[in-house]
Amino acid sequence: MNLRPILLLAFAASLTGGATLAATNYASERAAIVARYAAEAKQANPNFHGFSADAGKAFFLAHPGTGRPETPSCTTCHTTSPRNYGRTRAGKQLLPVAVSRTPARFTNLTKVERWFKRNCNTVYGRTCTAQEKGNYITFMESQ
Amino acid sequence: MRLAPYLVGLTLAGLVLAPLLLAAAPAEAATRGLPSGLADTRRECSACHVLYPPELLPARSWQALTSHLSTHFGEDASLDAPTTAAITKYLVDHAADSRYGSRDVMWHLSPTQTPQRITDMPFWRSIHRRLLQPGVGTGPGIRTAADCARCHDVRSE
Repeated sequence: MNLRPILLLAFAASLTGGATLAATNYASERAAIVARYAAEAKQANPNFHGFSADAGKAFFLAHPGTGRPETPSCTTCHTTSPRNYGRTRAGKQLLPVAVSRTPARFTNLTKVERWFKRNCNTVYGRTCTAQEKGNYITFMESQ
Repeated sequence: MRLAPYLVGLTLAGLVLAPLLLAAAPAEAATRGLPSGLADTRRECSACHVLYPPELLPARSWQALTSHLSTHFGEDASLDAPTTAAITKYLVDHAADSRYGSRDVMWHLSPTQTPQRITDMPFWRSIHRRLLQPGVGTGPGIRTAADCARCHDVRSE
């Protein structure tokens, strides 16, 4: 009996299983970050009713006019669809922000905070609220 | 041949390997195991642009650039203090006027000048005259002179 196909199949199956585990890991890491923003939002506003993908979408597409002229909107670099690859002003390609396209998005709190700090500053001219950050991530999870 | 040990071994290997492979995002994989200054420089600077070689600006330029990362060519590129310090050290240690640099890069640069763009270095302007003509740099061909990779084979990470 030739065992090779069975062994290969087992290996392939376990790789798939491992990939699923990793995705679950990303999802739980992202959930922890969202939960953190939810706690912060609730503290800021006792009437907090959870995050909204629609509000996140509006926030992403907006041209607030309060940031720097080079970056009037999130869409300046990320394009109007988060499923697209983006491009920085210096020409570097950006991975899609949509979680379905880049599963590792929003799984590292340090990185998430760093980029919200920078990009909220350049696009909105201020820091973002926990409500806005949660809405944004919720929108990207839906994409 | 007994199958069970192999099956168990391979299955375990797959379960362990797949998350590791997936977790290794390209940018992080490219900097793993490097000295911290170089790793930080590659990871952070290449998040937005090609990795400009440190030997294309003098040390004073790198010091000036990294002293105000929150206003970095219209972007907020702010980093925590330890990371900024590690990156600054790497860039300064490998600058055009360091032992890794070249006289050619320092060509015609006055000691009183501290250019913050490689495109403001006299050597760069002398060999990229075509890019300095009006209109070039905004058209569809060459998007921006900051995008070296448009014409050159440079590391992107």
